[in-house]
Amino acid sequence: MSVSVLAVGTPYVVADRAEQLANTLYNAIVKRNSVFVPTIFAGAFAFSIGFDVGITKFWDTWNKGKQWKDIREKYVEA
Amino acid sequence: MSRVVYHPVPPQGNVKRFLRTWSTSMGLWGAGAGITALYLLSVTPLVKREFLTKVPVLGSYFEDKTPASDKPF
Repeated sequence: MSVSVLAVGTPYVVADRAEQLANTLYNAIVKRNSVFVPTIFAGAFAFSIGFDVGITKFWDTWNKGKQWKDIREKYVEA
Repeated sequence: MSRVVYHPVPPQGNVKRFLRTWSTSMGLWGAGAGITALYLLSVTPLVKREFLTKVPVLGSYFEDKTPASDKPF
């Protein structure tokens, strides 16, 4: 049982799950700036790829049959 | 009665202490600088062609898939 930071002076001694998760994340990622900053850039890198793939898939599905890549077989002469 | 004894430190003692303190941080910042540079340069065709396409999982995302007949240049 860990002491809750929120409960100084009170009889409660249980750190709730959110606080434990926050502490784990803080100690792992935020505490060292040399880990925090690269995590942010790596997160941006990952998000840019993931978001692009997701939104492109949605766009292609939503506009099926209307884009050049869907109809180009009819016009390619190679 | 206390006795003060001087323990001489060889010059490499300062270097060792500096490395012990800072080597982890320097290594992490170096990796971070690499990640940042890769992210900021990922738009360039050189980095895409020569490096990012060779990454195992994400390589196919960076490949240029437009057919040659569709390219203006």
